Amino acid sequence: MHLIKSFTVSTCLVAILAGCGTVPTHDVDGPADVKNYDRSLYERTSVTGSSLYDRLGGRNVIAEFVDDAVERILVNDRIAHHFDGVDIPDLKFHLTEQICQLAGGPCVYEGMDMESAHFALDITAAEFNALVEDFQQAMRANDVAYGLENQVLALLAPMKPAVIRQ
Amino acid sequence: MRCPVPFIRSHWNKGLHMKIARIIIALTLLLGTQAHATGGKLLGTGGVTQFEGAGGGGLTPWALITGMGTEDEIGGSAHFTYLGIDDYSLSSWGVGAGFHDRLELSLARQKLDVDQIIVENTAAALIGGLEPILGDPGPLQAASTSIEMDIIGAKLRLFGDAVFDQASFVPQVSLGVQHKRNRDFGSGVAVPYLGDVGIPALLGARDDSGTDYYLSATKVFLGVPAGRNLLLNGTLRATRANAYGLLGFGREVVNPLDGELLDRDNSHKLEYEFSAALFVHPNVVVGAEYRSQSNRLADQPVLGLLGAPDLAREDNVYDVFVAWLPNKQLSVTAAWVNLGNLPFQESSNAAYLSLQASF
Repeated sequence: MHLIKSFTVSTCLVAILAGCGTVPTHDVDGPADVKNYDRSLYERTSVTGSSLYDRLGGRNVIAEFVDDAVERILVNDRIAHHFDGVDIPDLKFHLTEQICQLAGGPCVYEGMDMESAHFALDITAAEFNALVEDFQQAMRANDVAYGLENQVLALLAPMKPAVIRQ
Repeated sequence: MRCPVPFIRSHWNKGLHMKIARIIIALTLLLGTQAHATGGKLLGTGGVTQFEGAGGGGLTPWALITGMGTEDEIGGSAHFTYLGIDDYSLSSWGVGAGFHDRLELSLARQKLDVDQIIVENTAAALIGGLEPILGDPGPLQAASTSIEMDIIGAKLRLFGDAVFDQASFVPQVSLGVQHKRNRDFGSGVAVPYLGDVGIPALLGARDDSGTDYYLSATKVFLGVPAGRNLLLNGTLRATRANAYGLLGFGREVVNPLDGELLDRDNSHKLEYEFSAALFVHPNVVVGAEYRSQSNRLADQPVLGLLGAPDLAREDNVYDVFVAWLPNKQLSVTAAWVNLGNLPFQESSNAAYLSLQASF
């Protein structure tokens, strides 16, 4: 049975890969500021009617774990120095708006695009991951279900090329 | 009754090997507690170590580069793996290094221990056909024996980011090579008529060393099935190995009586390997793997002549596993592996346990 399953899954993967050249790299329907990353695979393959925003429980839930994540980032030795002089309430607001919008909520992110926001910061992949880990811990601390946590990460992961080494 | 000369020539030091195994376990546990030196990859994204030393699942290499190092860092891993089944056991231990999430180098040692009764039966079956010609071989007796192999591996990430590229279906693709040297190919067992021979050569293998080339494609789907993270991997391998190389490489059968070449098969064959792994919990992964084998040593004329046509038949192998990753430095993997046919042990199901440390 496992054999058949792994065959089936792999065959599907091969079939999917054959069409990879046609995957759009820009979110043509969204505003220009989310152009650096597409909707996650989850959002595009999801068959559930509700948006991730609804499944998370709305903007307040997002605002809570964003607040917690930023607090963790500010005491994280590996990355805190990147936030010296940053307007923290403003950062929390924009992050919340951005995740809210990406998750399909009724928000409009009006901050800088990702390249500009990280210009000349020379952020490394390890630092990007450290931030991801703070978000994971924050979501767990705020009782976001593991399944939803992964879907939020799927929205943020494609930002990596726009964030690091700018 | 013992032969006057030890039947098995023991040319490795059991005590030394136990010592090395202990050092690796100690190192593994030590590294597992040294969080500060760990690289910046996310938990689980370096894979575990497969039994040939490459970063991957337990059975098959993945396109991921071993260790916790990101593109700006150097990471690494150490592993100890034990696979046990009635009359056979396979240990594997080694180290790997990942350079800038681009190049992986690995070094592994495998040791297959075979029970006395299997060695005796194998030798008896292989020489059985010679008895009418050469007369009574006398009593056959063997101690348990072992086949050891060294594997030097390298893997280069060609393109793709399996984890972070969630906006497309493009996988991470790596090209790998595994050079294997069987240390017990042509000697170690004293067989009547033939003298000092090795089990791989006796079974018809041609060479004591060989090189596998593989291409792996790995993709992680974040949050795709029910919000869980799914990893899929496909590996295509060109190999001359018999039973991963533990039974040598290629095939060449020579009539032991007159030296006539009866059969030869020395080409690389393409084999397929698949893995699926699911993070069911932030620290627990379950999955299944499949790996095809060349089955080059079965059905050959001389073994048929000597009375053991299917002794070294190889079946395709599959496993189901569960891995526990309490932190970025340590992983423990348990698996149930269906190895298929082994000499004198058909449809073998083995238990597998692997310990890995990463930094």
